Amino acid sequence: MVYSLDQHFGSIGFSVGTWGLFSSSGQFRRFTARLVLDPDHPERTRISVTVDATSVDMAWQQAATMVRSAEFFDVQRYPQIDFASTSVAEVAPGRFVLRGRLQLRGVTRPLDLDARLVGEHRDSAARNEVADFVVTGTLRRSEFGMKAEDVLISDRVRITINARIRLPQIVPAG
Amino acid sequence: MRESGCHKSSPPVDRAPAWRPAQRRLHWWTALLVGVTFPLGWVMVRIPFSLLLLKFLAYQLHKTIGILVVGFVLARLVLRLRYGRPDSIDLVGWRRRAASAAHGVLYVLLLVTPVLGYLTASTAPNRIPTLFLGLIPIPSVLGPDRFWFAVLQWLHASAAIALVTVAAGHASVAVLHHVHGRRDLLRMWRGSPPAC
Repeated sequence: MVYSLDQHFGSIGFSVGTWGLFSSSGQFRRFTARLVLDPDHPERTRISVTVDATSVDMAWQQAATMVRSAEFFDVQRYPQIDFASTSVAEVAPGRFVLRGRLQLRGVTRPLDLDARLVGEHRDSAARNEVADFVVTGTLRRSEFGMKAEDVLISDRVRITINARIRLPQIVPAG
Repeated sequence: MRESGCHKSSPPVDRAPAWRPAQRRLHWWTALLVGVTFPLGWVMVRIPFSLLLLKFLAYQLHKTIGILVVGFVLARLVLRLRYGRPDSIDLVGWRRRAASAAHGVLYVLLLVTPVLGYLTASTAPNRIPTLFLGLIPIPSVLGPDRFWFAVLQWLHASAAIALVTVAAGHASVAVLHHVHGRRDLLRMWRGSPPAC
């Protein structure tokens, strides 16, 4: 079964330490995600996320322009960021470790993400079940060649993804 | 107007009490800090983002100086209330009233300008905190707000221009008085002017 991430309720954000005293955050406005789930073989679960790097945004417009530049996401040369899982393991009830590979600025590196199921409920309007996950992870931007402003901006970047997955539509009995 | 200079033809030297040392030091420190932070404010907004660290440090230095100015001015007001001003430099008539008004406006602008700067930083969309000495975070009383940020930024810049304009007038009059024999600059720098 293939599920799509509901972009209306989802977000992909990042935050970096700044000057060691506070953090600055941003987010990507456009992305797509696919979850391929085999109920008989949960270990075969695959997740892929494609992010439109040009949609990166920050509260400060000038900062958004800066992070789109060649020194940071270099969106002109690398307009897309991809993550593809290689394994998904449930380490505790409602908690999963996603192992995969992230391609950013043309560099592909392994990346582990931690996913937590934070809620399940029925969407009465759409008449289906939805599951909300919070996915977090940390990467070192220097490993992807993003080394600019290393005195001011930390190398470690924290990623936070809020994901809503729509489970199969409920078909009324009879 | 009372003349008390060091003219060869006027041997009496003004040895009357002058501003207290703490008042004089705070006066010159305030002048120095405003003299540094005004052009710094003009420059820092024009530093390109390609020099992000320099831009960040320039902003934090500007903010740190603003906080110091508020502290120094409050200390000066306390000293002024406690010790007043030396009688020997009193002016008379409209000059006295003009000087008092200018001093009052200067004190108000010295307090209002940094406070407006702090509020501007508080409402800034970038959410970069004010760090005193680049290390100590100053709590923000307002949240990011683009409308108020634009308004406060304009008010802060206008107040800063007004402050520097009035301060320049104040300095010009002091220099004018000095060259006309009142020795105001020496009195403010060293206390009572030395014997000729």
